[in-house]
Amino acid sequence: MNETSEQLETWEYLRTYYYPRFVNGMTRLTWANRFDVLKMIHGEWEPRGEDPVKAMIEYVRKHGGYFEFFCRGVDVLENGSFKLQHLVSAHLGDIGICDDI
Amino acid sequence: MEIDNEIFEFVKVCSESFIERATDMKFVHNCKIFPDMVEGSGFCIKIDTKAINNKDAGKDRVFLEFVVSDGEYSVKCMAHNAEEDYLVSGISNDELANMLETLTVSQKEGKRVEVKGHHVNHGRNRVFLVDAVFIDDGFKESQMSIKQFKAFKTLCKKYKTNPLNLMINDKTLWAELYAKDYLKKAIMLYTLSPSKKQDMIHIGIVSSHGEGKDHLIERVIQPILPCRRAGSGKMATIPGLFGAMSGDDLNAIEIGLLPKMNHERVAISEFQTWNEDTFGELMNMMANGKIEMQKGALDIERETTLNLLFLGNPPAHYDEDKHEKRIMLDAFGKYTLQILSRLSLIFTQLTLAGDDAQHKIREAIVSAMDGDFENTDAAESIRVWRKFFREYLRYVSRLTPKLKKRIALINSIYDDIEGRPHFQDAFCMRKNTDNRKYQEFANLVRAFARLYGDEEIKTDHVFEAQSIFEKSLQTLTEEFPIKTMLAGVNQKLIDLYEKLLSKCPAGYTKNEMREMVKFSNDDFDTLINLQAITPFDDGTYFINSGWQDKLEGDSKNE
Repeated sequence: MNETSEQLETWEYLRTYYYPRFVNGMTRLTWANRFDVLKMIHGEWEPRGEDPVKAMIEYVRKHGGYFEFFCRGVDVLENGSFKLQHLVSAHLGDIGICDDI
Repeated sequence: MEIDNEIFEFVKVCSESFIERATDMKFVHNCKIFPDMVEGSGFCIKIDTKAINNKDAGKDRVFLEFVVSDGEYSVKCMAHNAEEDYLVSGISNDELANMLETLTVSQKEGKRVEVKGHHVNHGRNRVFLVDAVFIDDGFKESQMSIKQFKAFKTLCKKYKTNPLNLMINDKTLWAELYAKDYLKKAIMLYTLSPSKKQDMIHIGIVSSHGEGKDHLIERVIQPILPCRRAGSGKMATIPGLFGAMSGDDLNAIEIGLLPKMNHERVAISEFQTWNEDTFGELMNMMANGKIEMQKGALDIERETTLNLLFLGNPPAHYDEDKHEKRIMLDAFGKYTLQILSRLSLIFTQLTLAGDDAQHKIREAIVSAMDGDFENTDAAESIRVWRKFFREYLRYVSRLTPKLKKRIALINSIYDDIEGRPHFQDAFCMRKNTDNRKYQEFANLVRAFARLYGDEEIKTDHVFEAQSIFEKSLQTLTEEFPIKTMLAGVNQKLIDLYEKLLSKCPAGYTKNEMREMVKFSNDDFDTLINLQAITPFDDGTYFINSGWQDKLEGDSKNE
């Protein structure tokens, strides 16, 4: 199914303005905490290898960042509206994406 | 940021084509000596018709005597239908009847009128003989043509800038005052002229003393567009603000400041000095863009579609330990929550310019004192920008970008912000959603589209609105060192005190301290006077570690 132009526009908005703040929120966590949060946001994360945190670090490195996790934490509907998963929203900022850290 | 010369030259040429329009009666009043044709604008506050009993005048001729006032200057005006032999500039019966009708509308409905005429001698009196009177709906037409507007937008695009960035540049409208960008943007939103109640943008700014709030009105807002300042405390009465029964005509209500500034702006400086009942009267106006009055046998409605700016300090009873941040806005009295709900943006910040901007603020102060903004090239350049953007802002105020196309995105962003605990605490939400705040957020999106000069909503406008809305919310919920502020301590002194406390807490001489922390003698002496630093006989000093706590304790006891 093709995405609507409204969906694409919303994804562009989220990628430009929300995603950097999400990365900021994630990288402020220790890897031990980050692993738990990312695993929950992902929803289907399966255990990989003997050192799961190391496997996740490798996964993030290989995929050039956290965008795949971010995408899994956001629903964008056909009309362009979006809904953030609670864990994504909670790691953006207290007020939103624009408050000073 | 430097502005390309091609843009400035274009702006200069455009501004030369704009003529200065009278929005008051000052010029008419001051031209009494000269017989030249002049025009002014105000409200008719008194009308009288008198018979002319003079054979040179002709039969059944009438004098129409009326007073036009802008609130500051009142001019006695006259029109007649007598023959030329009696008095010059007579008009026909129909014209005089129309004039009477227009003036009556002005007096009864509180509509602004433009008058055009010249001063003549009549008997022993010098009177303003009026040729024409027009109703002025207050929502001024821009003198900027579509061609000029489009060319300006094209130039902005060519130089990878936009009109809003030019407006908040320190070389244009903000040359005389240093402020943070988000505050500049908030003020630019305020300078838009609201045509409908949904367009109104009310802003509250609560900050420390000496932060240049009055300077903001005088040096930034008033030179661009009409903005009247309401008096503080008892100087602004409810009749003065809203209207009172006319002493000359009990069938009319004299117009107050708010209806007078319909489609324009009113700033309330030191709003914390107002009686809380005054805020109660403002509530209807802030939400509906009109006021209703019943006085004697009169039942009238006046349009007050205007932007309000509240500037002031927090109430003295605010206690940081006991109260939430929004209690700082208790200056609105028992109507605090209602007024908060009606403010599109609220900034509660100790410093408006930022802690790191002291040298820039001082530069601006010194430039103003040295007269850099008078009779210089810089002053001429600022004048050009102000004249240009006056017409630009009037032009874009009439744009009606439609929100529908981006409404799903706007709704989602608003829902995310509204769902956060900070938002719910700040506005004391009692239900699931706040429709008024939603409308204010959507209005901010549209207002940014107007400032950018765009006829359709783009994601840039959505982000601008989101940024400023969240910033406002952040200042409302973050810590605010109110007690130290009330004691007259500014952020700079607090920073200096904290640096001294951490780097040289005890046993250092002034020179030794200076090697570690830079400070002026004045600031150092102020901290001694405030008992933050204790001097010893051997020339060393002790930084009192509990000073801030003590200060807060003192403040509590007051």
